[in-house]
Order: sequence, then C-alpha cells, then structure tokens
Amino acid sequence: MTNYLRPKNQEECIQALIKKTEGWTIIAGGTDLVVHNRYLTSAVPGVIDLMGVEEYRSIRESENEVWIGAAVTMTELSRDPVICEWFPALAKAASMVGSTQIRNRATIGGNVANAAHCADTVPPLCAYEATGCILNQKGSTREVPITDLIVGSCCTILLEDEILTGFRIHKQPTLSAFGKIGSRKAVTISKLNACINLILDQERIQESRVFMGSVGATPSRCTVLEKVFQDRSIKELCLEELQVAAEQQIEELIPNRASKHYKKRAVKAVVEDMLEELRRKHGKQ
Amino acid sequence: MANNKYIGQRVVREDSLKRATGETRYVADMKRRGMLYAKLLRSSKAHADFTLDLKKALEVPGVEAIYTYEDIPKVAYNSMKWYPGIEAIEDEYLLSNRARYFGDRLALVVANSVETAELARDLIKVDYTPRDTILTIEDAKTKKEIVHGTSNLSFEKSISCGDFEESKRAAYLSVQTKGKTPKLHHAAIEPHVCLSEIDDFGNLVIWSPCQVVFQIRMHIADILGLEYNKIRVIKAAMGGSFGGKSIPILEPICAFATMKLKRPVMLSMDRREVIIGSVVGNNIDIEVETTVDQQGHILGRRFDVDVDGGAYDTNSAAVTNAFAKKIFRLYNIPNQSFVGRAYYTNTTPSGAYRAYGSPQAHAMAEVNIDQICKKLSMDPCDFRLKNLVTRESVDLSGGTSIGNAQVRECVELGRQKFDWDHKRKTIREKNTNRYAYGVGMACATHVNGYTGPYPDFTNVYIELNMDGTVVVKVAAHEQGCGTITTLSQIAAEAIGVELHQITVTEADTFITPQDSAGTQASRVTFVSGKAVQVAGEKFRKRLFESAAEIFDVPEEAIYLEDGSIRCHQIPNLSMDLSTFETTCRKKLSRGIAIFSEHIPTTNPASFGAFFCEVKVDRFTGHVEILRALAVHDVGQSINPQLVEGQIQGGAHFSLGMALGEEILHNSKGVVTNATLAKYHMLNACDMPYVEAYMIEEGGDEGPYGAKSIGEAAAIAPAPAVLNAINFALDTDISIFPATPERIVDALLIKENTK
Repeated sequence: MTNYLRPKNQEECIQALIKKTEGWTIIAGGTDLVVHNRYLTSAVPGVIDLMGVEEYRSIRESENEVWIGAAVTMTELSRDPVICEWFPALAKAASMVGSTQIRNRATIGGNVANAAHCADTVPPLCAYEATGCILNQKGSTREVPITDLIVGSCCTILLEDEILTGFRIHKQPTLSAFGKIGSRKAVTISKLNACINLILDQERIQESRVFMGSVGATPSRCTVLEKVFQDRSIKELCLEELQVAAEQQIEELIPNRASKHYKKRAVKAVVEDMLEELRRKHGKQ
Repeated sequence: MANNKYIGQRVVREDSLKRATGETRYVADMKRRGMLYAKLLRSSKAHADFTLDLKKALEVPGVEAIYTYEDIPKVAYNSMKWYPGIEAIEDEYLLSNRARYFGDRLALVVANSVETAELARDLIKVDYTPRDTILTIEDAKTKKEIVHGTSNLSFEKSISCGDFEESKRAAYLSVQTKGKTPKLHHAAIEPHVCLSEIDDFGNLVIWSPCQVVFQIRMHIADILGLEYNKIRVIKAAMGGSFGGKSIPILEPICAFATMKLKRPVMLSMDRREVIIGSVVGNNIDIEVETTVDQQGHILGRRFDVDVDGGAYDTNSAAVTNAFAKKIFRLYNIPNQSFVGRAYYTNTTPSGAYRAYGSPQAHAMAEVNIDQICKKLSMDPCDFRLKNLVTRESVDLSGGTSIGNAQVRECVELGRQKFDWDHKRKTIREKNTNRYAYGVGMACATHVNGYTGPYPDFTNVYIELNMDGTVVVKVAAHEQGCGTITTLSQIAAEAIGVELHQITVTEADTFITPQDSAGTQASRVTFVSGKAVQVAGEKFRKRLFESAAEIFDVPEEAIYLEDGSIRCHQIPNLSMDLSTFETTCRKKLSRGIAIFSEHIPTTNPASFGAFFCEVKVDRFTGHVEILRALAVHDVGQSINPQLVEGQIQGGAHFSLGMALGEEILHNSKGVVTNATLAKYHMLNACDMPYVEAYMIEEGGDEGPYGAKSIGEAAAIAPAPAVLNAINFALDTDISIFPATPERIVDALLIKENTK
C-alpha cells in the first residue's frame, strides 16, 4: 500500500519530510505520477501531497516581489491578474501546457521539479530571474535561481529531504513574450519553447534575457539573440535579423542533434510570434 | 423517398443517452462471483529467444496460475480467418515460444485482482537471447534472419489487365510516385477486453466487444478442441473498433484460462498494450506509375507494392489482395498491372484497419494523379472527370459490377459547393512570407461486402412476441456506427410497424442465426440490411396471410396502421399486435415467425470525393485545415444523421493519417510512441468541421438502394490534404503522414535545389 501524507502547513511538511523514506515522491497536481505509476514495477511506497498547504497554493504580491506557491496550478497561474500584469510570458506559458484537464491539476512547482527539458514555465522563470524556495526536514530554507536549480534533463539540485515550496520574482516593469512549437496546435509537448524578457529605459532596450527550452538538457540562455536586442528600440527591431540570430543560436546550442534542421527553421516562427507580441504589448504601454 | 416512413429519417440512436450518461455497461464494468483477472506478459524485445523464471511471480499471494507456451495446446492458427475455408498461413499460438515483436505474448498471469496480476507479471524473470531484428521491409528483403518459416516473403500476388508497358510506349507523359503509408493505431476509446465464464449448463461463455462472434467461436473451439455447440460468444457493448477488434486477440487465451481454472476470467489491455500488442493498420511502400495522353486520359497504370505484415501472417495476403482489387474500380484504365508482396517483420502484426487496403491504395494513387495534373497543367477535377468510372464501366480485373456509380456526380457537386474553380485560381493570393495556402481534392471507392472474393450471406429470424413487439434476430455488432438503429429502421419500414415495436438483437452465437463474416467489410447495411428488409417483407406477408385467414378476407385487404392490424373491408377493425398474436394462437394454433436467408448477388462500389483548404506554416511545417467538404455516393441514406457521423468520423480517421498518425519504433524495434500523448491523432481544435453531402440515386441491390459509407468515408481525406499541401508549397510529398518535419524537409530540399 502507498502511504499518503497531505500536510496542511509548513510544520506538517517538515514532519512529512522526516517520515519520508526511499522511493517516496512529492507531488502537487500529481499529473506526472498518475501517468508514470502505471508503468512502474511496483507502486510508489509513499506520496507527500502539497496541495493542502495554503501558502504553497497562493500567489501573493508585495511591494517589491511576487510569491508564487509551488502548488499553484497552470490554470490559476495563467489567469492570475498579478501574474498577467507583471509576468505575462509566464501566464502565457502556463496557458499552453498540455490540455485543459492537465492545466487544472498540473502545478508550476511540479513543472520545475520534474525538470523536463521541454517544461514550458521554465524559460519564463529563468528570463524573469525567478528564484526557487526550498525547505528541508530541519525546517531551514534556501533560495536558488532557477538556472541553478535545474542541472540536467529531469534533474535538479533538490535533495531527498527537501521540497520546493515556491518561487520569488522581483517586480520590475519589463516587456516580455513567450512562444512554443510542438507537434500540433494544442495538447502538445514543446519541441522548442522560448521566452524573451526586455528591460527598457525609455525606448531603449537596456537589458535582455532570452531563454529557450528543449534545445539541451537545461534551459539555454540565448546570448546570440540577446545581442540583437541590445541598445535597440522596439521599433528598430528587425524580424529577419532576429530570425538569422535565432538560427545561429540553435546551431550553437545543438550543433550535432538530428532535430537541428527542423528547429533552426521552426525557431523563425517562434521569433516572429514573439516579436509580434512584443510590438503589440509595447504599443499598449 | 416520400413513401417511406423510416428510411431517410434522422432517428436518434437508441443507445446514445445511455452511453452519454455512463449507464452503458462495458465488459470492463462486469463482475462475476469468483472472477479472476488476467494479464499478458509481453516481450520487451523485438526478436529474441527466451526463457522464463516464474518462481517469484508464483509466490505472490493471490496468483492462481501462470501459463506459458509449455501449457497451451500446440494448435497454430491465423486469427484473421473467419471461416474454415480461408486459406492462410497459421503461425500464431495462444502464447509464443519466441518473441517475434515488441509486445509479443509470452505468458498469461491469472490472479485475484488486476493489480496482483500486474505485480506478478512484472516479477517474471525473462532471460532473452536476442536475435537479429527485421524492422523494415528493406530488412526483410536483405537480412539473413527469418521471422517465420523459410522466408520473410509471406505472400506475392500479381494481377493485370491490358499491357502497361505498351501504354507507356504510346503515352504523352508518364508520372511515377514513390511513397509510404504509416503503421496505424485504431485508437478506439475502449481498450481490448474480454470475459470468459462457464454457465450453469456447462457452456463456455465469452463476452467480447468484437465484430465477429462466429469467428471467435471457431478459433476457440478449434484451439481448445471444444464443440461449437458448447461455446457461446456474446457481442458486448463496445467503445469502438475500426477493425481493431475484428480478429480474436484476447478471447482464445482468456477462454483457455477459464477452461483450465473453471472460473470466470477477465483479460484486459491498457492503451499501451493496445498500441503495441493488438494489431495495426499495415504500413505499405508503394510505387505507382501512370501513363496519360496529352488530353489527360489515363492510358495505363502500374503498382508495385510492399506490404509490412508484421510478426505474424494475420491479414497479409488478404490486405494485399484487397489493395489490388480496389485500384481497378475508380478510374477507367485499360492497361493496369499490380504486383504486391507481403513481408514478415519483427513489428506488431497487422489487422483490419478501417477500409482495408483502400486508405493506402488511394492515398498514393490520388497523390500521383495530382502530380500528373501539375505536369499537364490541368485542373484535378477536370482530369478526374475525364477518367472516373460511370455505371457503364467494367472492373477489368474481373471483379463484380461497379453498379450505379455516381462518383462523377460527387466531384461535380463538391466542386460547386466548395467553389473549387475560384478557390484553386485565387487561393495562393492569400500567401505570405510565412504561410502558404492551398486547396486539394481526392476521390475514393470502397466495397459493399464480400461477394466476389468470398462467400457472403446473412440469415435473419423474426418473431412476433405476445406483447405485440417484434424481435429481429440478426448477428449484427454495434460498433458505434448506429448499425442497430439502421437495421431497426429497415425492419420497421419493411414490416410496416412502429420503430418502437422493433428490437434488433446484437450477435450472440446462441441466439442469432448464422452470418457469413461478421460486422466488417462494409457489408452490414448492404448485406445484413437487405437481409432484414427481405425478412421483414416476408414477415409482413406472414402477418397479413394469417390476418386474412383469421378475418376471412383477402390478403390484399389487410394493412398495418399505427402498429395495429386493420382491414379495408372491416372499417372498425383495429387489432393491436398483442391481441393479434393471441388471436392467432387461438384461431390458427400458431405464432408469427419467419426465418430468412439472404445471399447478395452483387457487390457494387461506394464512392466519395473530398475537398479541403489548408494553411501551411512554412517555418514550422504545421498544417491547419481551414475547410473540409465531403460528398458521398451512398445510394440511399437510411439515417442521414448516422451517415454524416460516418463521413465526419471517417474524415477524422483519414486526416490523422494525413498529418500525424504513425506508430514509430527505434532501432531495436521498441515502439517509442505507445501513448496517446505521443501518437498524434487530430485534436478537437485541429479537426475541421466537415461539410457532408450525399448523392442518393439508389439503383443497386442494398436495402432501399443503400450502399456502404463507414469505410468509404475514411479514404479520400488523407490524399486530398497532401494534394492541398503540395499545391500550396509546390512540393511532391508522398510520405504519409505529412508531419511538420517532413514538410520542412521537403521545403529545405526545394529551396536548396533552386
């Protein structure tokens, strides 16, 4: 039989972590567990379900930052007014994960902790410089940038006695966009996803942070693309130039992968969609 | 059809509400006292010898038995055979002694729960000694390793009419197309399942959502050495089949376990098992070459075809034959030759797949035709209208009469409704740097039963019950097409009673009379439907004769109105059928019942044309189908709502083959997309609304002139989409499905050769 613990607060989480033994799994929405458990040799010995912890289920805005609980679902994330205002690319990424049913259950914490190379919320979290908040069984916490938290495909720095409780993102006015390409229009696993986040000083792009997913084991920072944005205004951005840079970027990231030829081409569409989004949003601002 | 009360009516399917509300009980919902649950251990290697260590698995509490090749009767069979007269290679056993594909049946675990059975199954230690794997047709031709017997070539066939080579010498143009169709999963929502038990009379009873009760009975009886009379196969409620449940896969081994243990046993698969371990639609490599004159008349055509039959013979020969037959029935082609070969490979065996050979044959033929049109600068509709068959045409391969062919009418109506001529001229004006637009069309034909190549008949028994209701016993299998509703409408029309008075049974070898082949081959409406019509008319005559005798009036004076017996000569007479049945017993000492045999004498062709508009993303290779329109020559629709459902569902099937559906395996033969997350059917948001039109000119043998639609609808959409993509991009894609990667590859090649 599988042990099932559903802590209601941080203290109960710590107690649960103390009880946790080898093979136990921590879940929020449980969407990956349900699928994988079918094909495991034996059932998981224990499950810690974080959906009962109010703090992990909430999005909170303070003066300088926003807290996103690990157990916030994709649907909640995609519709939250604070997220939509400050981190629209994250909201958009969440709205494009899997199917409606999946989005109603799957959580941002699960998406990050599972650390699939194609995870849709990861490039935006990286581009917004989010940090992941980690709690251990001793009750101590630490904070790690997402770029350091994910270290390989389905591989994070999370230790056996730790849980990911949520994310902090600094509030800063930026212009951002998200794009993805899968095998089909919806309910699709990303073959390529990307997030552009631009910090503007008046009309000038002062700083840009561009990340792509599914082009390597971990989210990839796209320095070739970032250079194109540097010190330009949105009006000055040229689609063809960005597309050429994006192709180069793919070439640099996956020079030897069989999927390179397809991705080099498909990235042109992702860039076009994202530039259109940036221009639209900039016009509104 | 103004005089018909039920034919052509949009009657709501009798099972709709129960299915929608979850009330329907499927086999997986059934429970029996003392019932055991079975699971198959499947091979994780594509080709290997193996030994099994059952020790740990047998120690699991709740495990009743584990069977292996050692335990089973050594009776080889071919699950595709539906009566003993079919000649086919018999090469499969209940359980295998060598793993011949990823998913092959190695052992059966029977336990007190599904979980226990799965746990024990996973504890069986399999020691594999891998063999070289034959994963492709190329492997089958070139590698030394042999899957079965003495050669990987399992079947070879050639047929022809005229002289193709001669036509080539005379031709203005000859166009060759080489392409492939994918290995396909049926994706019925209900995974395979069956329940076997022994009833109070000692009969072996099998509950199966299947298309073929008599076929299942034959195999179980022959393998287990039982009398046919002792086996009752009951067609259970089904959640879709599309050919996937048209051969016994679970039933024989499940029955074996019940006979061994004398307990009810339920054997089920999950989605992954159904994808890797049931049957698949054949992938076929096809080369087609067509010769034409300058005006666009087809002079000759040549097909060279390699069929991947998978690890067991099953339908390899039958599908190759079916492919061959179908190419002679759509266009007037005086010189045509077909050479086909079927091969064993270490992949999932193939089986019936909606439209049996037609999706592959017409897919390539129709793409080839558009390539000819391109070279001749001729409109695809114009070209087809010059060459399509008419009612005067003859199947030059010697097949049955084509019948009242209305395929030109399909093209003409579709062309008009779609605004084809205008669209084809102007569609490219919508193009942008990123998006290309195109329109395409294709035609298709399919059969109406088995007459010609195989025996075909349906027997029907109709009886008046004491309560005035009428039971029509016919071995039909409702697969979700509305078969039972269709047959009920035909019965009500033929007898002249109200629809609610009719009950049409589903197949049950203890209840329903013999039927030659089950619910397959697009034969039910045309053959069984006609059988019900003929039987209904006989029953009506019997009813009227009896009434005439009772009331002492001429038979012509009797009629039925509102479900009651009336008589022109006795104005006040209105006797409901319940009273009539009792009266009949009292006065004549008999009931009202008839038995009727129907043997069709023809097997005409059904036709269709499909038109679509696509938007192709040149960067991502994604295709959006903006508009889809189908026109079908159905003779007469018994229930237009059900016909439209078939046209739209058939389109969904075929459009999946056009754009995304394909079972993939890696270099070791392991299936890499055995989930619906990775096997890409069209989602609701990608599926266009399909405008459906029907040509109803009747004129053939079917009930009230009706012809088949279920399979005919699943053929033309795929090539129509490829034709539209090729028109949009000026490419020659001929590999199905046209995935984003294949489209991008085609564009890269085109751009680099410029």
